[in-house]
Amino acid sequence: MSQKYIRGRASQNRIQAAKYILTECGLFLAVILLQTTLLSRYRILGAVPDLCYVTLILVAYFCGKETGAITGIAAGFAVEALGSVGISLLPVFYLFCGYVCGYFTRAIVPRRFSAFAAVLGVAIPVRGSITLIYMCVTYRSVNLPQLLVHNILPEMLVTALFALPLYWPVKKICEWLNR
Amino acid sequence: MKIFKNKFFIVCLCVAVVVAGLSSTFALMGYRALARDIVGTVAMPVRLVFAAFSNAVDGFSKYFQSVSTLEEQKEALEQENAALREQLERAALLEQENERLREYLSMKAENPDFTFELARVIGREAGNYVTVFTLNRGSVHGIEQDMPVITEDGIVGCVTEVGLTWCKVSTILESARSVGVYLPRIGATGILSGDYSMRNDGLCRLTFVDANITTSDVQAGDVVLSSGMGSVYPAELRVGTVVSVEVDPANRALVATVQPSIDFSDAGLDSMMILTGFASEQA
Repeated sequence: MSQKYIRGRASQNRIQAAKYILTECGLFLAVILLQTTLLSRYRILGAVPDLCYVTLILVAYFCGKETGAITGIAAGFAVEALGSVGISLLPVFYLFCGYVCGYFTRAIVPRRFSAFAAVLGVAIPVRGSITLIYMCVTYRSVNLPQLLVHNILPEMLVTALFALPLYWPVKKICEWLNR
Repeated sequence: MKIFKNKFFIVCLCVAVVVAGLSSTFALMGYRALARDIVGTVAMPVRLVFAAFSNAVDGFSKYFQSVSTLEEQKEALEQENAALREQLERAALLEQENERLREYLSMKAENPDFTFELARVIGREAGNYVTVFTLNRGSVHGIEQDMPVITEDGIVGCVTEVGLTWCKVSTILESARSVGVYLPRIGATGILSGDYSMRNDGLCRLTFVDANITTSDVQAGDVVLSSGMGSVYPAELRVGTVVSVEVDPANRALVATVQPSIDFSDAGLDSMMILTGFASEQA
C-alpha cells in the first residue's frame, strides 16, 4: 500500500515538474518574444523594458527561491541566445536575482501588490546597474551622465511600467502551478 | 551570507557559471550562432506570430501616421498652390501691363512728337457702353481740358473735366463730341460724332464733308483715321471701321455708321494715354 503511495507520489511529482517546466518555458518564451519583437521595435521612452527580468522576479516572488534560481539560469541563457551581447553574464545575474528575491520574499514579504511594488523598487535599480556594467563592457569609454539619462533611467522606468500589469497574469499562473 | 551557503544554490551557481562561461567562450570564438540557432529555431514559430502581430500593429499605426502625414502634405500643398496661384495672377497682370507698355512704346516710336501721361481708369459710367471714364491723372500731372485720350487701338475721346488728381474723359460715342476724320482708301474727309440712338450699340455716325462722295465709293470695312482737323486729336490715329453706308432721307447727305476701334464695353480697358503734347498737322 505504501509502495503504491510512494509510486503515486513520485508520479504526481513528475507531472508537477513537467507542468512547471512547460508552463514556465511557455511564459518566458512569450515574454522574451514580446520583448525582442514588439517592444524592441517601438522603444517606449527610447528604451526596451526587460520583461524577462520582471517575470523572473514575479516567478521568484510567487514560487520561491528554487524556482527563481532555475528559472533565472534558463531565462538568462534564453535572453542572451536571442540577444547579441558578446560576454554572457545574464544566467549568473538572473540566478542571483531569482534566488535572492525568492528567498527574501518567501521569508519576509507578504504576497500583496504593494509588497511586490516595494520589491520592484529594489530589483529595478539592480537591473539598471547590470545594464551599466554591460554598457561599460561593450563600449569601453562611456559618458556616465549621458548613459544614465539616455539608457539606464529610461530602461528602469519602462521596465517598472511594464512590470505592474504583468503582476496579475503571472500571479494567476503561479497560483495555478502551486496548487 | 547564510543564504548562499546552500547546496542547491551552489549547484545552480555552478550551472549558471558553466552556461555563462560556455556561452561567452563560444561567443568569443565566434560560435555564438550555434546557441542562437538552437534557441532561435525553437522560438521561430512563435517569433513569426509575434512578428506578424508586430507588423500588423506597425501597419495599423503607420496607416494613421500616413493619414496625418498626408493631411499635413495636403495642407502644405494647398498653401503652396495658393501662393503659386497668387504669383500666377500677379504674373498675368504684369504681363498685361508689360504688353500694354510695349504697345505704348511702339506708339511712341511711331509718333516721336507725342508726349504721354499714362493713366489708369478709376471709374466708369455704368451702362453697356461707357461714354465717360474717370482717370487717375489731374491738373497736378499737367492734364488740361480737351487733351486727347488714346490707347494702342486708337482714339478714346478727350478730357472734358479736370480735377486735382483726376480727370473725366468723354468718349467719341458721346453725342456732344466730334472728331475730324478721313478715309485713307478714298481720301474723303468727314466728321465723326456720337449719336444718341447709336450710343447703346457702341456705334458713331460719320457725315462727309465732301459732297461728291457717293454710296458706291464708301464700303463697309473702310478704315477711318483721324484727320487732325480741329487740333484736338493728332492725325493718322485709328478711329474705327465703316460698318454701313446710307443716305440721310432728310437732307440726302451720305451718312456712314462707324464701329470705333476701341471696344468701350471691354472691362479690360483699364488704362489709357493722355496726350499732353503732339505736333499739330492735318492729314
